[in-house]
Amino acid sequence: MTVILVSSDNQDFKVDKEVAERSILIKNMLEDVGESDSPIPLPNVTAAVLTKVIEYCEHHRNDPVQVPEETDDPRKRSNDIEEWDMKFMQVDHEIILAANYLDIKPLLDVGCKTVANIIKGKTPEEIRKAFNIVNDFTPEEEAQIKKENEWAEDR
Amino acid sequence: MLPILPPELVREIASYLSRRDFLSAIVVNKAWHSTWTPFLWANFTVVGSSLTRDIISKKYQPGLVRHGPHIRNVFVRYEKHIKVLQVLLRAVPAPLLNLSSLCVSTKLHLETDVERLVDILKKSPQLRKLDVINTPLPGLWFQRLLTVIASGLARLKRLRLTHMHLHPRATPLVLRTFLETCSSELETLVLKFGIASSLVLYTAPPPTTIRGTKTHPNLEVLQLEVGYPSMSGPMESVFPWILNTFLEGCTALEIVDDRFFPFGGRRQWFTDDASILRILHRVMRIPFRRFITPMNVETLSNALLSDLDVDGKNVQEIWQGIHLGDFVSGTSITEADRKAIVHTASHRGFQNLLVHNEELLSSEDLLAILRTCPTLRVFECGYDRYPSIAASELIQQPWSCKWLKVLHLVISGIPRPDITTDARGKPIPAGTPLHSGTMEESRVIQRKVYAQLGALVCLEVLSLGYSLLRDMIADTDADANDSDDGSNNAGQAAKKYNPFLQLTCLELTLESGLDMLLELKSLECFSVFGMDHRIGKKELLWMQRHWHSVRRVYGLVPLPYQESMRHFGSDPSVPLCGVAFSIL
Repeated sequence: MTVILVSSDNQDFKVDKEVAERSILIKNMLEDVGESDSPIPLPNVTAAVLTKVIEYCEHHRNDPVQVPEETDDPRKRSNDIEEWDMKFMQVDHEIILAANYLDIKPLLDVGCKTVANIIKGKTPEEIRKAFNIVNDFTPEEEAQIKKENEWAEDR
Repeated sequence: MLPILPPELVREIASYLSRRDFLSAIVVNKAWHSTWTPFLWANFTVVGSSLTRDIISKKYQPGLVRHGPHIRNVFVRYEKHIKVLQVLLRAVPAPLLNLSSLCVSTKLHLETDVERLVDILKKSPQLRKLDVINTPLPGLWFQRLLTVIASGLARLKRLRLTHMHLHPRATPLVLRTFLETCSSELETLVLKFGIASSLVLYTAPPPTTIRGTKTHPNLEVLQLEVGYPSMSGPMESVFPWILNTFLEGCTALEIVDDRFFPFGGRRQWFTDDASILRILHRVMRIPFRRFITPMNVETLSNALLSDLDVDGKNVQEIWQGIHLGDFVSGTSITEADRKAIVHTASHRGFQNLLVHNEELLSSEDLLAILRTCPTLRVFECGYDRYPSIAASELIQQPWSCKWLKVLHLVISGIPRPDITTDARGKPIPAGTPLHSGTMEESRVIQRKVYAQLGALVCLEVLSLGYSLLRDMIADTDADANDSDDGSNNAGQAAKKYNPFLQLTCLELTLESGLDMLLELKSLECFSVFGMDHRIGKKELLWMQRHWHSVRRVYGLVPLPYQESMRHFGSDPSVPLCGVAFSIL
């Protein structure tokens, strides 16, 4: 059985129901409307992003559905991303936002871990480069911030 | 890009990041500064030794005023930093200050310092966790502290007050009032103090009820370690008066710790008291028996088996612990005895296992106990070598002993291709198990071991290396080797070395995954004797910052042999870096 997803720029995507249901949002919508051929509009997701998201869901169609695990561990580990996912996740925050909107927990996890991994262990300058960010601090402001937060440094 | 992500996603990303990452992130640009600053300030940890004057000076004030309201957790390591609490209170007025945990891990010699602590407690009614540890208090301040905690901190879930050895002048009435009126949300209560001569002077005073008595339906762990229990007379008789009403209200108790004397043979104060035992039996539904300390093999089997049904049902009483310390060396126990020990240990209520040396239990037995004993608190090994478990076995299954407090264990069988020389500094030939894998494979195994150990959040003592320095033996062909390295004069006496250096052990570096032991906040004593670990300055700074209770790290450099032996660990400056808590 297939369902039709419609992106915000009005492109139709024909997808196996099983694949589409990786998104909890879509799964719930399908359950709500019951048997129906009507296309599902996704006004928050562009075609470009939706293509990527579907690619992800296709690849992971046979994964067991993730049960949310209660962990007390305040610091989680981000070095357990599958190789395929790693290649797939060229940082694109739109995918993260789409995963959040479509409620695809595993994709969201990989997205957040990927962003974290980019930040991890980098100097401010390296982070700016990685995210293409312009520093809008004056040298004085930057020095002031460093001073305020000195307590957190290893000395 | 990140500031446009919704807050819950930012939180999710932050959960993978560390303090150092936040330090970089906050200077990236203005948007990033406002996104990440709250995460950096959430954990306000003051440990750096050169910061003191700075942090209480004016230059920090604007930062404290602005970011203080983000602070959730405060950790102060040194006495000289206690002033920070006062500065914090002045900069962030009480309604804005919203602490959820506070840890002070230092001596407090001055009353003004205790006053600072009390001040911040009074203004933090939302506090969920309080640790005042390694803290002998002056004068009557222990009593004062107890009163402030009981009357002001009604949301407290975890409380640890430890090592208040000097003069904890709390009367039985103060102690009892504290226990009965402290937060009813408590889940863990740890009190360790020397009650010493002061309490002996008191006998139980008359009141039968305490005003404002509460029950403690969530309290799972009660650890009362009171010093000097060998004193007899009035002190023993006062404990039921202090404890009985309180214990009746603790309906979720899983762990009750007495003061513990490994191999000491001194009396446990509450497990000796019939009325306290009766209450514990009722609230915990565990019919406790005291320690079993058999004098020979026959009495062990008889004693253990006499209580065991063949099917393992209908156990009449639960042994609190087995103490196999008094066996004469040379005796060995049978397979049936071992089975009986493992079976006995698998019962809820079994807490302590002491063995004299590793020969008394096989590694399978020990592994079975760690996997099945739900309430194990202490696994301690006496004077000899520790039992050894292969890492590959250890990581097969999770352990069920989540409340483990003391663990003596050698973890072996980890490939360490980075090690090329043995204890004498001589090359190790290729083809040994040491070089059976790549460094990446080694790290994969190590991470799994760290994950296992990192879950033991109650650990106070973790000994992964045993002391066998007395077994130094002479390296008879040292002379032949000396000519090569040129650092020794010809004709010098033969070098001595420890033949038992553990090679296939954990590296214990941050790169290998030491930071997975982040949650060992109760760890007081960490021993890595005789291990070819790689603990350096970086690791010690990390321990100082994250292991709030740590007081001693043993086995960094075997000092007496420093000259004649190669260093353990990669960084010879470790003992000089100012953060090594104890060298030997």
